[in-house]
Amino acid sequence: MPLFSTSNKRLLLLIGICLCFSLLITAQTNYPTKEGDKVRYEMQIEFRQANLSGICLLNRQNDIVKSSLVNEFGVSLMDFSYNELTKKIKILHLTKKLDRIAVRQLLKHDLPKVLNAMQEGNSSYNNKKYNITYTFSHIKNSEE
Amino acid sequence: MKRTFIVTLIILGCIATSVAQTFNEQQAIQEISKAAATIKTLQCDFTQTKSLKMLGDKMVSKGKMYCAQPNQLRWEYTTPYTYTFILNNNNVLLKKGATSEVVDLNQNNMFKEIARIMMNSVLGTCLTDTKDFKVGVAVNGQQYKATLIPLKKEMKQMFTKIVLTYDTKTTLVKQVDLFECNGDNTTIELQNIKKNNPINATVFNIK
Repeated sequence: MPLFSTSNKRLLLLIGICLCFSLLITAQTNYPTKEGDKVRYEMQIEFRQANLSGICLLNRQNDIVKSSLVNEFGVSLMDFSYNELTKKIKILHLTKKLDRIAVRQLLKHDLPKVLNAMQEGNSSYNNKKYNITYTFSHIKNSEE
Repeated sequence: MKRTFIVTLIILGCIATSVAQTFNEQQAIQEISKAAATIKTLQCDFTQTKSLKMLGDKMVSKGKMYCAQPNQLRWEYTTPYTYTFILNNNNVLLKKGATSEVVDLNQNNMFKEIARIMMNSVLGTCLTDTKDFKVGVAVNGQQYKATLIPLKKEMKQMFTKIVLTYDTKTTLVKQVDLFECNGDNTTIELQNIKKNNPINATVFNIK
């Protein structure tokens, strides 16, 4: 007598495919989904002829993703939080050189899209209106 | 009469303590400056720990540093990301992954300042640089702790203070603590420090 009937085999195959698919999605999207999750990205922001690079750290606390962008030398460039329920960004700190109303407005517009791109497993987001490109790559095996 | 004597004694004691402290501070600065003058090259590994107040988290990066007098510095992060900063006289190379950018210091005052302060901090010569910082040195057992309070606007906007820790035996910097205005701080520990060992010139190549 066979261990599984044909219909059971099909069901198991389907479950297997679903599991593989969900694992694949989890592996590709490096985004803090659970309380206490920590994710690190190398980030580059290119605009006009200038560019800004650094490390973006994301931590989840309840429905809020908190993030800090620091340059490679460890100097803080920006702290912000993103409320996933209201879909709103709150800029908590911005380095004096960048602290302008226009920059804050731009970041409030762009950052939810950047986070969304990270969630979807993309590696960049482009603000076509102002031609600003945010490029990010996940840092693996980062030391905590 | 007794009271006057006690008050005089206390005042004299205070003066003596303050003279002793000043003497120690000046002596420490002199020792550090004297040692800095003998540095031709310096190389070491470093561990940088960034403490983020808002996240309640830490980020550790590691790398290597090479420095040659009078004006060459390579500051290279190797893990968990790669990033290289090379100062070679009037040029700075910033290298990240496949992309690199060369900055001419004669045309970029901000980078010129950053490069100068980095060199001075590594070599310890910033203690006598009264234009950039108000300096205070405390002698604490086996180490000197120099506290640098920024005086220039650009530095004040980033840091509230910088603390350099020197080994009293070698009089070389062994730790740098950067305190930022938003409550974050960064500690850079220098390990395996080699003084005046030859460094291959290609380390400072800007290409």
